[in-house]
Amino acid sequence: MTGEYPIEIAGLRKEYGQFVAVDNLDLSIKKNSFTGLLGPNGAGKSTTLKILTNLINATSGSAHLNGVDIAKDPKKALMGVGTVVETPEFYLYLTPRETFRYIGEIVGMSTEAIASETDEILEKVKMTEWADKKLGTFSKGMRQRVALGQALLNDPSVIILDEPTSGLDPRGMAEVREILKNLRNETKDLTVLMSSHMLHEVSDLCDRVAIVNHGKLLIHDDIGKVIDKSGVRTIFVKVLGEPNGDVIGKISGLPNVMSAERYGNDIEVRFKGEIAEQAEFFKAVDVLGIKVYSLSESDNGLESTYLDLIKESR
Amino acid sequence: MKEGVADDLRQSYVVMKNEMTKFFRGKRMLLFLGLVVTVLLLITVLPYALGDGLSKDPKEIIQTYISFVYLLVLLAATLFASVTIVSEYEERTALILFTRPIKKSSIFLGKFSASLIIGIAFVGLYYLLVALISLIVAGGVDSEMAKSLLLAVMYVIGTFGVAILISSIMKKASTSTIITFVILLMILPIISAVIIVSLTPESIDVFTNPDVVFYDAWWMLDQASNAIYGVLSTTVNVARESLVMVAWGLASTAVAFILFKRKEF
Repeated sequence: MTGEYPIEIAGLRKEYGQFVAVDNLDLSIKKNSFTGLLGPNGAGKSTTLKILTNLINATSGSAHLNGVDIAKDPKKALMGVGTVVETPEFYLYLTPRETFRYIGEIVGMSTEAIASETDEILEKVKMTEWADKKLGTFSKGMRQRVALGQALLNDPSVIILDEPTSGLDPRGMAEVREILKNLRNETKDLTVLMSSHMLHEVSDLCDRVAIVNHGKLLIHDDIGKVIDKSGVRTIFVKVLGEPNGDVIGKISGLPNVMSAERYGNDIEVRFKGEIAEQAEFFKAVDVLGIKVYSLSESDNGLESTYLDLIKESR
Repeated sequence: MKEGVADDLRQSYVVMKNEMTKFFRGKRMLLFLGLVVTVLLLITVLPYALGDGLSKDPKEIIQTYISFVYLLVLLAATLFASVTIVSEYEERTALILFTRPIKKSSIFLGKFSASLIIGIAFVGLYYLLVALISLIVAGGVDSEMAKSLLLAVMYVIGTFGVAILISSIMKKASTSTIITFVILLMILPIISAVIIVSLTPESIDVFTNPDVVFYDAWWMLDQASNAIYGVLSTTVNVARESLVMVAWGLASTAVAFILFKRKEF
């Protein structure tokens, strides 16, 4: 099983006094998958990743990386694992090249391997021209690219990322996402577990998703299957004139409608059902006499599923 | 990858090198060197500016310079050892270093040895400079200077141990720096003074009875450090004072390591 699942979490629990941050979590990450770990604030995502990266200890349960228990032998478990936890800070007196050398020496790479990989990675993270400048002068986005770069050193088979775009400006976010996308497309033997708040980011980058709340796993599967399983869709209804409370109320009362809310000049309808039920819904809207000029399904099905699951787990 | 203790030590060496780079590229080193140069200049230049210059007796010359050693060691402990652990947490560099395949013991050893090497190298250099000044001005060096150097090195071990213990407890580097300085400069001497006064039988008559025999708190770090200067003029139990200072260093370093190992991010 270990070869198939480079990251295995079983019965993981972390308590801070009375507060349970991670509650009997079981999660096995498929080899060569790009898995997004989703959940609201305080869901236990960061705590789980911090346990996996040996920054904190679990109260009970186990976490294995490449078959090695992180609590029993963290040094061996973290071999071949690259990490970017939160927005790390660097030794500001070092340059990216010196930072890579430091990390490379720690993991036991030869001087030649460090030198050749450094150039290659700096190119990948678009930091070549900044290679010999002190990190103290870098923006947050640039530092995050260096953080991603150091995680790629020594050709890791597993990468753990904790909100890699958090706190970055839109340009910084786009740059980091592009690096991750290239990584996904160009690297074959690589398993990535990435926590994020941004559903579109997970939709865009990941092929699998695990949703947690209150420290518990709610669902874990291929993104497409997760969306299909919940059957929750978001439909935008555009009506002539401003959508008033009466119209919204009528739509809310239709079969399979979970909620209807005004969203600008549209009505955002959260709908649970398959294609047949959706067709019935369109018909029912017409029967109500509401002057609809557009009905469209949101392309981000993950958002509806996520909101539905989080609501149910409250 | 090389297995076992050899690899752990290799990693400690890598951490130590980086820590030394941090010291040498940091402002604290500049501040420290500035203070040392100022002290050396004041001791050397002031006697010439105000009178006949430095004494021609090697013992007197060395006593003058060595009387400031404890203070400079204390400053070194405050500026270097007191921030070595806490800065990893405060500056969030732990998120890079601690998530790597490296044992916490290797990190601790690398960091502590880097500050210790800086401290011992500084003491060695200071004594070398003092010996040179003594040779130039008085034409010789006092033979007891070697014992004083040994005791100063032991004091480095003791104070740096206390400093790294504070560094393992605190959450902010600035707090750790201040607390280390205050503990070494004031709190320990105050505790010693209270112990001495409390345990000296004739303490009530201390101002009227010149023959009072004070309780010897030889096991206190600050009391043992008096030997660095004392060894130049009086009989000092070098072995005992050295052991006391090393014991303080080892005990506080051991506690610091336990706290560091248990510390979570």
